Amino acid sequence: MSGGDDIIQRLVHVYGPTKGEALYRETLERTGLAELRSPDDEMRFADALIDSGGLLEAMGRSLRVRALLRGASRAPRADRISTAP
Amino acid sequence: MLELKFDYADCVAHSEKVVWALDDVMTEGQPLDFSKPFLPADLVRHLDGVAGLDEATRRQLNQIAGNAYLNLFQFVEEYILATMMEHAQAEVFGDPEALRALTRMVDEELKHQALFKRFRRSFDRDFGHSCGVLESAAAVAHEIMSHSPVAVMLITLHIEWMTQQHYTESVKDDVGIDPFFKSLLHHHWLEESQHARIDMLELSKLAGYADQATRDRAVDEYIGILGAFDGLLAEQVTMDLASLESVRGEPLGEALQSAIREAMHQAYRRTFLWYGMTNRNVISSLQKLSPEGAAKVTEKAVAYA
Repeated sequence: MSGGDDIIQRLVHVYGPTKGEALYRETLERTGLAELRSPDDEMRFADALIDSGGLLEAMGRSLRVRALLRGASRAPRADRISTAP
Repeated sequence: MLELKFDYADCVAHSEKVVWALDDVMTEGQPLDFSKPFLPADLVRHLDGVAGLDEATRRQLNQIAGNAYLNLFQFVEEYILATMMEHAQAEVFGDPEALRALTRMVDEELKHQALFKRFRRSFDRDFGHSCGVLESAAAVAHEIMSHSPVAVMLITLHIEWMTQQHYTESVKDDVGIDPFFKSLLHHHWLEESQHARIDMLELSKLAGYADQATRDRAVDEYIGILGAFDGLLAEQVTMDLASLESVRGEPLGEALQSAIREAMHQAYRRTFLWYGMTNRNVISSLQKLSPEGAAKVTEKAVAYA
């Protein structure tokens, strides 16, 4: 099972099939990715979920840890990079 | 990846059967009996060849090493519980059985730490002499956790299976050791047997996502961690020698100190390094992950026997 399939399952488990699959598609669209092919892709997806807030944020935090354990690079989230000199 | 014959649900079921409460094993402030050795003869066999130690001194050295032995477990459990919390966090909204197994494991590791700290307080009070033990658990946890997740799981697997082997091969049938110390190790073993299986399930999961180069690198990292662990064991031996001199009230003398240092270090190496590196479950996991890496580990283990 790919990372994407497993993530859809998680969303479907929590939100039901219609809303879960819709949330997956919408979030994937926000990442600009066509599919989740690597731990780094899963990390981007997780960060997009975190930005959604609430329960999706909690799911995103879990998936972020999972992506790191699967070998995602530890680059900081783009919106957390300080622009201070 | 590892083709295991058990799953997370099996680990939870077994954990529920053997679970124990801290106070049932040791109450806070419980007095210790120092009339018998703590560690089984097999784990300190290298000391048999050291001449010039009377029976009482051998027993006291054994008890100093027993205190250090439990502290070392308390020490490594610091990083294990942080690691397994991460693995549990990764399963929130994922596999509920895996989440149950992992969170039970975290709770049990915290309980083991509390038990060993309780023992150490009684030991420090009743032994009559201050005995130094490694204190830098957080720094070591940081160092270990800075390695790749697969390497961290490999060293964790090593520790958990090594614990199993200590109990089944050296502790269980040794009738000469202190029964209370044996009971501590028995209770520790009961719960660690699930932990070793959970480690294999987690390792299998992580390794399944890693390519061959990543898996080979992870085994090299594991060997590096063992080398650093050996340095810590040498530090512990130095503290044990200072403790023994404090107990005797006089210096050991250069020749005797050197003989004890060498024997103790080799005993710790065999106990904490060799046992894990040669455990059949660790070896078979390594062979599936990285046959080349498994061969390196087998070759390195010889020096620690």
